[in-house]
Amino acid sequence: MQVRRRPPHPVAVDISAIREVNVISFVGGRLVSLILTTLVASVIVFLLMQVLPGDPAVLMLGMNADADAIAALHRQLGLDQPIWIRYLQWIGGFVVGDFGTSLTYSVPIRELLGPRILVTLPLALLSMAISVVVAIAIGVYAAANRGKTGDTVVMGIAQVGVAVPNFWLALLFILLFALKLAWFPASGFSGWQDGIWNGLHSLILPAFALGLPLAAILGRVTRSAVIETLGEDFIRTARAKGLTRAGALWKHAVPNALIPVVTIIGLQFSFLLAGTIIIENVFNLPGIGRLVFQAIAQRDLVTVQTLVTLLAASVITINFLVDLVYGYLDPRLSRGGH
Amino acid sequence: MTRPLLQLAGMSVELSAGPSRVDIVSDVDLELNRGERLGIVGESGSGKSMTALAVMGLLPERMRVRGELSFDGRNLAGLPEAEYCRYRGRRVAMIFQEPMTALNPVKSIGAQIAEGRRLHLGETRADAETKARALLDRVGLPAPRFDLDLYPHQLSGGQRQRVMIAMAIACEPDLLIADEPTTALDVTVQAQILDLLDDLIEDTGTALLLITHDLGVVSEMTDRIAVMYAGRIIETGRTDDVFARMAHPYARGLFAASPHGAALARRQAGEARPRLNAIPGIVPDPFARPPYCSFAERCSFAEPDCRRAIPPLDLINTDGNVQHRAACFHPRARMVAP
Amino acid sequence: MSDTAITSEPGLFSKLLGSRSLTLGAVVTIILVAMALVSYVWTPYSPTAMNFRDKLQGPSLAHWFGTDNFGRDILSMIMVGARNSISVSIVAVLVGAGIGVPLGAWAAARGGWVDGLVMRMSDLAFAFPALLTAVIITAIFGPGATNAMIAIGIFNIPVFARVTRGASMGLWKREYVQAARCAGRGDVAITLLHILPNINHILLVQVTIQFALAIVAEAGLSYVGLGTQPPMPSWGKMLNDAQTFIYQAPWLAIFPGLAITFAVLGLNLLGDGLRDILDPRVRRQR
Repeated sequence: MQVRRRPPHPVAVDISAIREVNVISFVGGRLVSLILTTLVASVIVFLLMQVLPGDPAVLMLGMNADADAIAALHRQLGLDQPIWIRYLQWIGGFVVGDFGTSLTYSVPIRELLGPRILVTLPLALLSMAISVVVAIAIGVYAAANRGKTGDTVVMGIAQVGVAVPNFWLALLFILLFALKLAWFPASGFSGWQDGIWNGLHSLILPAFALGLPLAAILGRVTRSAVIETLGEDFIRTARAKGLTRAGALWKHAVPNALIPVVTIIGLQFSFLLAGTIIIENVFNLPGIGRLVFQAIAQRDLVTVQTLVTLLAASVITINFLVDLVYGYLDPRLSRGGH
Repeated sequence: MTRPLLQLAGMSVELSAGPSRVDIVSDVDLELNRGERLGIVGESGSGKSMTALAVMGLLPERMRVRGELSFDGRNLAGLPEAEYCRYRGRRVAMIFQEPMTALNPVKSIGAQIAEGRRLHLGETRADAETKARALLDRVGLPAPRFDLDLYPHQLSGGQRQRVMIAMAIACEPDLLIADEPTTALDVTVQAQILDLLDDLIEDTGTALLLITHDLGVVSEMTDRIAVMYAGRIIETGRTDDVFARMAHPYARGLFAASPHGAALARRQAGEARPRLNAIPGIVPDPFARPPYCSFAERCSFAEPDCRRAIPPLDLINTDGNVQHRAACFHPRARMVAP
Repeated sequence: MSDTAITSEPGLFSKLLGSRSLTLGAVVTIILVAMALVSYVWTPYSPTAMNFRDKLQGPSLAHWFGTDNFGRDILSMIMVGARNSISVSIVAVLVGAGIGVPLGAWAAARGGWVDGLVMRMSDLAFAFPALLTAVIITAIFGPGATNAMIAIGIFNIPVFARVTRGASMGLWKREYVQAARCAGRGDVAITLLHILPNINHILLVQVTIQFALAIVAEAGLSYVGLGTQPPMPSWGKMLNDAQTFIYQAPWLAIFPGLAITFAVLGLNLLGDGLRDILDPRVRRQR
């Protein structure tokens, strides 16, 4: 992190100007690296797809198709072009939102994406929200009651929670909440057309199955971060000002402890996306994860490379956003100083 | 005669470590009137900081106060936490030693100064920030160079200590406790901060309890001093009187060991070579304090009776209405300074 | 008042016994390994033998964990599954550490562009959700235990590279390393003699963490049908099969999941315990 240094005795420096430049260069630098990383990622995905065995034209036409038909289809799909031309065409379309046509479904990939994003994105956001809320609640509670029974119990549960695989938790939830209690559907997605609640209803179990194990990890991080900040001198200062224990905890310790916690949230997002792939399979949800699976199984190369690149791009973007939040939470990073 | 603002009578600070209990501070008697300035002097481990934290009600978890600790006629020892919070920052405020870590790095200095007024006086954010602006001006951090929305890392050590002082005086407390307020600062900055404190106390008429190991600071800033050794007050009286006589051998040793004292003594003896005399031996561990004068093992004037009982704080002299007392069976008689 | 005055620093041995998580983790891990080893010579029933007369039986004295839709004994399958999980994870961690540690050590030793390159590469690797990478790799090379090992191993590489680099960076600035360099020792020799011995405790803790993650990843891959292939039993595959019969035989979904949780919990506790003992910084906070 570049920390801008000011001369020790500035006579008349316009500090606000320095700050703005700082924030702009901070965001700008991150943005450039975001774009570069995404591009490199797309090249890697593209190249990976080239080594995938199986000629899509043969797959589409069947093993017995004659050579002329295959060659014609190659031309039609642009497979006769040199590899770098094909990459440029693909990535060029990618930038303007034209992802190409799915080989198996013969529809534009964009049309495949639309309804599926409306499943995966709410699922991911809901899980993340569950993870963050639960983690901060248990982490702060345990830190505030450090060494007492409450801390031991909560952290014991979290220790087990970290070890529970999300797809197994999903099965347990299906057993308990879908089959026994019949509160939620065991699988499938009813769509958003019958109102938000109906759609959300079928996402609640998957979101908890995904979010709770992450909350256990994040809760442990939160606890140790809060314990560390509670030992800082500025907490004593806050108490000397007349803040109660709880006041110092929430107003001074937690905002500082959030800095490391936000880093972990960013890292978890990648985990979460991978998790949606499996969880969508457990609950039979028509989301991006299932689409990836189907596309791989059917050797639908264009779809796979588009989806994987999109997933990678969203991880990179989330990490970019985390950096921004980080800069906002920790003024030492985004603002100049001694 | 009016009631003293702060009165410690037979106050001890007890540390419990497992089954054993030990007094970190033993049987301290101190009085401080409104507008008066009292210095507590001693080496690290003498119990002077713990005395200050006891007054603030911010002792570490395993420590508690025994005896009387009254503020403005009310015994604070054992006061419920919620009520204590109404004293802290409002009636009694404290300035800490480490300006680098005592401020919250993720909150603006304006918010940190305004916090106390919003908490205790129920001021709106706008009112409290107007007041914070005035306080910053008062402690020598004028606008526009020093905005309310600066963060601690953008300030130097001395500037941060000024912010600490602004925070402490924000609610116009009756008593200001300063624990080594200049120890962590550069020598040139130390003088400026002391001048500022001096001015502020002069203006506001607040009482000062200054904790320091620096005899120079205490001689300039205080009306009365109490010298602490191994958890007890071993000499107390009007600052001038104590400096003139130094009846307790430990006080003399401390004086000889300090650059300030050495300079004074040297001038009188006509010596040129600067030399500091270290006191031989070490401060006894609180767990192994002897049942007699705890300085006896280090004292070059010790006699057999020094190892028989703990010497009481006997009257040496009375100067006006202030008594000069020392806890020594064989107080030194010769004046060290005119 | 410092705590050292009150409690004397305990010796390493008493610390080993005193750490609850280490003891618990070690016991669980030993049980797990023992179960896997025993499965080579003995299981209550053959894990692959079908017995349709006894299919979908609940837990009983004859079949402690019940039987599946082919009448196979769940306990026997879990024992063989442990063997499978452990061997996949061992290879995956070896691949990850075997490539990641040298990369990280190289980055720390050389700094400059080497460091930049290794770090950017690992940044990039982190951009791909780990499981997605594994899915693609198994999709390219075909499903199966071997490819699952490689796939999981590959996403362990950047983790080990980062940890190694992070831990050894500071060591390169130490006087004794500088001295060794001045004495003409090469980077490789210094790394082997001075750097790795000083960070091996950090790597050991990371190994336990990655091992636990590998077990979950293998189960995940097998669950979606890309990992271990039948008839070899694996915990993830068992859970997938269980889902079909979740109405009739819920115990099928319980025991393999418990096995995974048990294994991961044991390894995590072991890692926590090791960290408590070996890393003085963490120990101070507890």
